[in-house]
Amino acid sequence: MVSLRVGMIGAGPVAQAIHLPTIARLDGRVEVVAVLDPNLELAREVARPLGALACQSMEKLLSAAKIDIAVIGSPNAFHAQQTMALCAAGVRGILVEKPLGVSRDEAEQVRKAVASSGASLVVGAMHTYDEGWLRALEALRSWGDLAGHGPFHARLVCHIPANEYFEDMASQIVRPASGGAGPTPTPGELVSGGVLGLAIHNLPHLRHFIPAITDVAHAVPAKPWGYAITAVGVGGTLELLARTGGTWRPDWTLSVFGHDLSFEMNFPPSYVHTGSATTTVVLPDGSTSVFGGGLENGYLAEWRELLGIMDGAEPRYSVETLVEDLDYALGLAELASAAADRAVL
Amino acid sequence: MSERFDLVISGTGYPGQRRQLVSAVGTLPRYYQVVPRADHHLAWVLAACPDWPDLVAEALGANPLAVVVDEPMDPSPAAIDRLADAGIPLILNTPQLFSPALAQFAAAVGPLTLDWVEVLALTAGDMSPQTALFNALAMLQAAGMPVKTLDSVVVGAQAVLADARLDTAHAHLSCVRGPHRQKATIKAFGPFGSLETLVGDPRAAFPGEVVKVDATGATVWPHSYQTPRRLALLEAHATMAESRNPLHSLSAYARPAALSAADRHWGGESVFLRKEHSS
Repeated sequence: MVSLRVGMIGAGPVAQAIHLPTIARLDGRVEVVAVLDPNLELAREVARPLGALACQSMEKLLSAAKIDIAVIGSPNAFHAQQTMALCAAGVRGILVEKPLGVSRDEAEQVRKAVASSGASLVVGAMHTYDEGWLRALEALRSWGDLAGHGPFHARLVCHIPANEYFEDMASQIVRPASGGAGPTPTPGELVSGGVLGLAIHNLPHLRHFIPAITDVAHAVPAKPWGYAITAVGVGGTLELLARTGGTWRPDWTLSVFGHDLSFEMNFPPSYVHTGSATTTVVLPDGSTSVFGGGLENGYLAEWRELLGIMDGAEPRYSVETLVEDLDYALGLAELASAAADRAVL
Repeated sequence: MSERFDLVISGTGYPGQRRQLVSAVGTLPRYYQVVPRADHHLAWVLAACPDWPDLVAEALGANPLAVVVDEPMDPSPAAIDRLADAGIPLILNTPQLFSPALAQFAAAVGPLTLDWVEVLALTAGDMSPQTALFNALAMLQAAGMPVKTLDSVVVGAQAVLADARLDTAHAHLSCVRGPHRQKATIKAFGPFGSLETLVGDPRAAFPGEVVKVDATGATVWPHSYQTPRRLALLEAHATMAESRNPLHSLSAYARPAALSAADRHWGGESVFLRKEHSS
């Protein structure tokens, strides 16, 4: 079997601790042949044990490596532009980390580029491919229209130690020298960054229960890093709570409460490969059903999804759905940012 | 030998509440006997009704040694002040106030510097949003973290959400109603790490949990398998036997009552938003 050739765009912890260990679990179906990073020394360090090409530019990656698949793990601001460049170059498979872009214009351009090129696209929102979610959602739908269990209250909690804590358990990480501190962000920028950096993992889940967010009542950033956001929308209320960077028990939980049922999804932390989420659904008669808890996590599932689409399967999430997910996230980020800046006036 | 008191119950409370109280009394056969009326007794008012202040006033008129006000509905500071004038110990009980895990948490949180607190209370479906918020604020106060101000309150169809300020910390409170088992969690964060508690369903002798996580590892407190009502009964006994002030005097909770008092109702099909600032 000939392996598909993979180019990694961005050589940081997402590439090293998430995608390279996941690729190692794919039974040789793909092979990393190139690593691109503006920091060429970092790209070389990551590429060396793989026997891959290290490069600093997209042009070099596309001309020298003949890749079938690209993984975009660069800073958010580059996701859309790089996705479009890969589409234009005829790369067949693209796994772009969330968010798909940082504006609605970008998202629309990506949608057009993917449609015209025929590229297979997966956004790396691993929890949306997690079997603990997919099986629970299938069961919820089999019990009737989801909206019939509303109105809902949704609560998303992410209490997780610093990323580095997990990265070093997932791989042998090469870290570049840290750059200097940038300008001090406003509360709005901190909260918006939290939505697009962390909450975004689970906003596609929330859309099933709260299809539109209409207002953010309160938003504040937390130290060392995090946020508390209280919002209302069509279908109910939601709260998003996050705190990272300290010493506490990891807790990444999405709870949804309807008038006659509730469920709680417990996700594993990022980076580490601890298996799937576990979802416990409490039914109207008080009985419970548990879904997930398998050995394969969402990272592996999103890679299997990409390979499946490239083999001709229908994508689980169309590019239109992915664009709608981004629009939802951008809308929440904008409302939360305004509320956070308003709170300090 | 310990003194045994007569216990007079009034009010109807939530469904099953009287039975839960009588069950708890059954675990303290040497401390209490339930009687229809008595002098120098403990009056226990099941107060989950709008006219609970009248029931308490009536109980005070029967010359009790102390009165337990059990889960008052929408308590107002004015009602609390008026009842306190009688000079008889009034003991507040809410679903979590006497939880053994909450007491352990309160003892552990005292020396810690906090900057962030989160509260989740899953409440009974028939509780009003004001009462749910009062109970959560009272729980925080009992844990040694009284709320100074409320920055925002949102009442939806299923939840009342509040953002508040403590001495040094931001607090986010969520009270979610529904058919689920009742429980509450408090997570307190600071430079030290985190201290969290799970307070179990007060209708069962659920042990709850208190866990502290810091740079050296985790500490778990011993479990206590007692219902909050049993501990409230023990506290009432000590208050009467020792002629001392109660641990959770109703009048000490006038501030949570003031913060939670407002004309709120569950949002029903249409979620509505309420923002407020109080000093």
